[in-house]
Parts: sequence; structure tokens; C-alpha cells
Amino acid sequence: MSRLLERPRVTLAVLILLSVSLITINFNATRFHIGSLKGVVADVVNPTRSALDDAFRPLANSYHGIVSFPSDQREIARLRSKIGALERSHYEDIGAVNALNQLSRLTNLPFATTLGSIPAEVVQMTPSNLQLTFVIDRGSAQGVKVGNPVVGDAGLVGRVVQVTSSTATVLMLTDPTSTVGVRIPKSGQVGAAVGQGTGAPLMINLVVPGTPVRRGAVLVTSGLQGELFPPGLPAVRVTQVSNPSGDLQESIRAVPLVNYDDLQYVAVLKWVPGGGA
Amino acid sequence: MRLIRALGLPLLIFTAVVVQRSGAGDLTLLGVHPDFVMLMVAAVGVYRGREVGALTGFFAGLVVDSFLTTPFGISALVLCVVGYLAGEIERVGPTAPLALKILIVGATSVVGEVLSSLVLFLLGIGNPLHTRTVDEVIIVGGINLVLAVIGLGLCRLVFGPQERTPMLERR
Repeated sequence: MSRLLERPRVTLAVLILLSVSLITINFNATRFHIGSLKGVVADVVNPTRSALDDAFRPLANSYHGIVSFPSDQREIARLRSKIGALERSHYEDIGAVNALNQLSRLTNLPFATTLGSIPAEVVQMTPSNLQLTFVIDRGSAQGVKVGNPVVGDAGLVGRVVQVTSSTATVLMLTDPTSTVGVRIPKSGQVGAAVGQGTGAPLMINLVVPGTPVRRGAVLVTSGLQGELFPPGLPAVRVTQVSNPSGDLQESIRAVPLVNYDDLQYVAVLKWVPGGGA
Repeated sequence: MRLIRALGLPLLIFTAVVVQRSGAGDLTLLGVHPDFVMLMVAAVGVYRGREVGALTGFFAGLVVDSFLTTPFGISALVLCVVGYLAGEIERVGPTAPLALKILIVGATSVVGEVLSSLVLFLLGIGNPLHTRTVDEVIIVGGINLVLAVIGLGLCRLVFGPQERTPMLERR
């Protein structure tokens, strides 16, 4: 019995009783102002706590950095993957909008209203420095023939030079072997737009000196040059005009109206040289 | 030094509470916070015996409760039991090996965590089946086991070396 009532045990029993009493009192908190007691203790501890907080912060940050490094890496990888997917989706959306715009403009070409056309998708830009061509997904099975002019939404793109049953190869205006007969608006003078290769503007040859040509003017196909193209198709835009003294022709440079880098859809005009539509 | 000894125990508990409430208490291991106050109460119990351990735990618990929204007195109840149980080592006396003291600090911390969950459950505040009770018990016990040497070292600094006479012999 005396062992049971030894002092530490009695102390513990008293303390437990006190604790339980406090817990009980807590449930009648409206009658006993425990909140104010808590506030006093917090007021004593908080200033020191703030100072220690500042002291411990670098340590805590280092610890968090070490402990959470693997999960942070996984999170970063997950977020990067998500960002990549969102960017892909974004660019796909932009591409789809561009394609839609091109297609809708191709269905209503103002310069080829009387000619029938075959819409086609560019499936490959020929990876060669020797010849500037691209391949479309329409061929002889769809009625495409060698010599058919090919246009984009802004104007002439080139002409079909090779046809298989399901594809066709189109020679770009910028190819050095490409020549397009063009007519200068207002004056009615004709010339020949000759390709100069990748990135280089076309040379407009055979224009009589003194012909009024302004920069930015759009030259249309003349229908001459052995009738490689029907007349009236917008072909190139003049970028530079000069007339060096003594030359027998105007020095005119021009660029195609279409941007070959963005070309997704084209229309093959049902027109063949010498045969018309 | 005498002043430190006189104010030692309150200072020790105050420090533990402040550390617990500062950035160090924000550190987590697998989402579980360490319990420095429980560590110090257990260390004091091991170093000074059951009675001092229980009293230290009670008052430390009251301070801890001041920062919690749980009913006032829960930490006091739990920590006084922890301090008392840790003080049971006085039956072996100060000759107890350091490893045993460290083990007692870790074990009483485990008991303290279990008791906390039990009290909260009985009061209808927490449900040990729904919370990460097992994680908390293991991690807090493990951390306190590792940090026991520091706790006991601080006690030695404050209280001085333990007497070499076993308590039972003194009685």
C-alpha cells in the first residue's frame, strides 16, 4: 500500500487529475477564460519564436531542399511534360487555324473563278538544293496533269512538272529553271520572271527601259511565254526597281506572293498549256 | 552556473517550446513534424526521475496547449505521463547505460504519441484509424531516439552530472 502511494505516483495522479479537470473546464470555455491565458503564454513565447524563426529559416530551407529534392525533380519533370503537351496542343491549334484559313481562301480564289481547281495538301518540300519543288497529295487519279498551274491563297505558286497516280511534283517560281511571263499593271508591258534560287528574289527580265513600275506592284501572269500559265494570275510583288544608265532593260526584282515556308494547302488549276481549261 | 542550474529547467522547456514553434518545428520527415518538447520532457524524466519528469511534462504541456486549438490540458496530460514513465529509469539508477537512457527517451516518445492519439480519440477529436497515427508514432519515436543524446546532453549541462548512487540504495 505504501509503495502504491509513493510520492511520484501521487504527484502523477494529481497532475493527471489536474489535466483532466482542465480538459473538462475547456469544454465550458465560455465560463472560464482559457483563451486569455493562452494569449498570455503566446505573448511571452512569440517574440523569441520570431527571432529563432529567422535563425532557423536557412536551415529549414536547406533541409526541405534535401528531403524534397527527389519529389521536386519528379514534379518538375511532370510539369515540364505538361507544359510540352500544352505547347504542342497550342501549336496544333494554331496550325489548324492557319490550315483552315488557307483552305477557306482557296475555295474562293478571286483570280481563278472561271477555272476549275483541285485542292491539294503539300506533303513534302523536296529536300534538294538542285531543284526547288514540293510534292502534293493529288495525282493523275484526281485529274492533275503535267503543266497545271498551282496557286496558293495569295497567288501563283508554280506549275506541275511531274505526276504520279497519287502525287504531283510542283516546280516553285523561285527555281532557277522557272520562267513566268508577267504583265506590268497599267502600262501593260510584259516581262519574264526568272527564278534565282532559294531565298533570292526573282529577276524580271525583258522590261523596256522607262516603263513605269513602282515598288510593291503586283505583276500578273501575261498568258504569253508559250502559254505556260493562264493570263491574270497574281504572280509576284516588285521589291526593287532600278534603271542603270546604258542598260537595255529595267532592273526589277520581285518575290512570290506566297510564302513557301508556310504553304500547307494549294489548288491545282485545271488548265494545261496550249489546251486551256 | 548556479543561476543556470536554478533557472535551468524552465529555460530548457522554454527553449524546447520555442524551437518547436520556430522553423525547426516546421521541418517534416515524410510529412510528420518532430516533437522537441516531448524529447526534452522525456530527457528530463530520464535525468531527474519520475516526479520531476511528471511535473516538467505537465507544465511544458500547458505551454504547448497554449498554442493549440485542441482542448487545453491534453498535452499536459500526455507529457506528464511521458515524463513520469521516462523517470522510471531511476529505479535502475544513474548507473544505467547511456544506450538504455536513449532507448527510454525513444520508447516514451512512442508511448506519448500513442497516448495523444488515444486521448484525442476518446474526446472525439481525432480518429487514429483515419489519420497517419502509425507514421507519427514511428517517426516521432525514431527522431527522438536519434536526438536523445542531445536532450540528455542539455540536461547534463543544466543539472550537472548525475549522482552515482542508485536511488533505491539512497532510500
